[in-house]
Amino acid sequence: MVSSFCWGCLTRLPPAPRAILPPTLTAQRVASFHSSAALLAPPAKKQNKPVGGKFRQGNSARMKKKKPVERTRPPAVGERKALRKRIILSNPNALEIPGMKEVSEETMVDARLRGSILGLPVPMLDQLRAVQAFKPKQGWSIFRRPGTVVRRETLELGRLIDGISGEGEDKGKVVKKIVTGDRSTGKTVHLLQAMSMAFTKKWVVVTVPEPQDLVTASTAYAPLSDENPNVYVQPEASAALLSRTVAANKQVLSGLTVSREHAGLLKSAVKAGTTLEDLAKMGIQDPAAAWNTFQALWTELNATSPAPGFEKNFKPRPPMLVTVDGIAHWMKESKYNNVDVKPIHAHDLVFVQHFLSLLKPGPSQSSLPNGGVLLYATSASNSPTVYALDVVLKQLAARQAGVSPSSPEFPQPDPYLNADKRVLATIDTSKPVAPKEGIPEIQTLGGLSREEARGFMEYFARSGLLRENITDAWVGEKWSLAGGGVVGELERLGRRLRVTAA
Amino acid sequence: MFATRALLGRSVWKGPNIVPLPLPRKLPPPPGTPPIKTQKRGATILPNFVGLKFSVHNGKVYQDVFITDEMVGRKLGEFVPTRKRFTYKLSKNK
Amino acid sequence: MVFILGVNFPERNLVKKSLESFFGVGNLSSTRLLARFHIHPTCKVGELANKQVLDITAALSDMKIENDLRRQYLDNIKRLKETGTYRGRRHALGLPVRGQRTRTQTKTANKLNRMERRV
Repeated sequence: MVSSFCWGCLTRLPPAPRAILPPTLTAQRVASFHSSAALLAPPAKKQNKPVGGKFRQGNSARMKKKKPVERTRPPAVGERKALRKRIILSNPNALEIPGMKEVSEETMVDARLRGSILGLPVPMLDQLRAVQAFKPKQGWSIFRRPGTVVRRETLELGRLIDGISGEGEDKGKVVKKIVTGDRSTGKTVHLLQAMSMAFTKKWVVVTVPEPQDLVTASTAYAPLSDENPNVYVQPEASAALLSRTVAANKQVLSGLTVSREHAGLLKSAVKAGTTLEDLAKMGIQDPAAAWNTFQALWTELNATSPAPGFEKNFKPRPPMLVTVDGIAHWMKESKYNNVDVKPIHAHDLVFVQHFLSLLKPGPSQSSLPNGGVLLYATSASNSPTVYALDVVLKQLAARQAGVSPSSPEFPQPDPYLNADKRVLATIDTSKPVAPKEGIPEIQTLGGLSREEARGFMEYFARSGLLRENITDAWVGEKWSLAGGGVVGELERLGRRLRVTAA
Repeated sequence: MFATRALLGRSVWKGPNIVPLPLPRKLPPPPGTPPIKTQKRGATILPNFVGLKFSVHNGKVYQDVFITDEMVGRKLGEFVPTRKRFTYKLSKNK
Repeated sequence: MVFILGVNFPERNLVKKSLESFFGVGNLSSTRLLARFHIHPTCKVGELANKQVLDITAALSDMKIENDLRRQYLDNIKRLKETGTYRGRRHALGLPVRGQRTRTQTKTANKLNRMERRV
């Protein structure tokens, strides 16, 4: 067969210059200088050889020997946890803000300071650290010194605390609040603010910063006594509570002395002149007696009058602030097992029982006879889902809104969802016996207002973290971006701008 | 396939698999009594079988089993293997 | 170092893991033992009170563990062999006992089922 055109004519055509030819895929694209080596080189071998050889032949016959991995020494026990829980309260690179006010008796009730940042006094930091008021990842480490924003709720709290320790009609009042709110709306910082105010007013502060630790079966437990074997005491956790309380309230406790005899303790150790600090220290040294000691300390702190024989040196007890951060963990079965290998309900742990019983009105007198504030916060980031607790909180909110418990709108637990009855019974809103004792209220924290948000962002700018002109429009934008002024989100925005500006 | 079905977890409500077998009238049977020939490999061995001789089918022939105390509760077929061990025999005609 | 049933355990070991090192004590029985003496699951051997150590030792010595259990285990297999059951024969032949296939994958049976079985 002969092709229809002449091959000779084609071959006699002059070769086109290289530059005109369109670059083809196969053309070797090499630099124009000393290209000969690349052109003359033997064609490159195919890179991906078929692995495994013939069809259905195992290709893993020869395994490569693993090189022994060089292991460095693991960090010492507790070191990694310490690193994780480390709290840095100061950043020397941040600018110091001139004229920043501190939390004090005057500033905590000053409504003009709303939206500004109040620094925490330096001597108080040790106390706050002792009660573990600071949590890691709260962003304390980006500022020169720790401070909190004064918002509406803070001022309300300040007035409340001022009123309870003052001489007015609110003296000796007991306020019980359950602090709820969305994620990073400042619940824990609200507790921190309460503690700082309480420390300023020389109150006694008792806190449970990590309620989860009590129910995860990570500390020792034992039946309380032979009479009630179904209630359990946690000696180590009680000792830790005592040591927190003593470290934070040393000044107050060392000024108070024992006012009565205590059945659970050694008589020789507790004499008329013993200070409460020494009393509590006995429990720290001997965890087995820690719970009894805590109970003794509690009755002492709640004493309104001395027992006969102990009148000397009796001083009236200060009001108390009790905080628990994350109560949802206490509303379900714990990880502990009883003798029959059934989980123990958290309400059967005497520690938990004690703090939850404060929410109920006291049997004959107020649950805190010398007045005080109970602040129990829920957590939105680390909390188990407890249906019964959700119902309880809804009921509280409804009651506060004026819905009567007998009306059909009042939220009731779904009978098919098996709500935990013990949890439903935790919050008792019956009329208290003591006149000054309040019923539990619910306080929902939301976002900051625009003015507060502006003050907060100005704080970032003045600390040198934010290089922006703080205008109302800019603040408005960030306020909306932060979901309506959610503090944690605002803080995140402030931080992120720092990174992009740098 | 299965030598015994006892391992397959027979339901409790069924009770043991009791099979009517021609047991001898007189116990112990007089010497010279022929073994009880049966194909019921799944029959549970009852306490009154002890001391008797059974001749249980293995699929091909009947094999004799003498029932002892320890065998009670098991099945007749458990004591009579149905499979032959494989042995290689050199064949002449290649 | 703490002695539990004659065995020495370093103090940093978990009690639960230490108990499970005995033949015949697994997750279930160790959980039960811990619950019986009110020991939390993350307890270290060094944190045990003296009384708890004694209690655990007493409870363990009442249980059928270690050599007693091994003997029982071997006796059961031996009984099967002696009565001439199918299962006994499979044990002796080193083949799977419970009706598994033997064409391939009888590694475990090859390893475990011996005339002189060790536990």
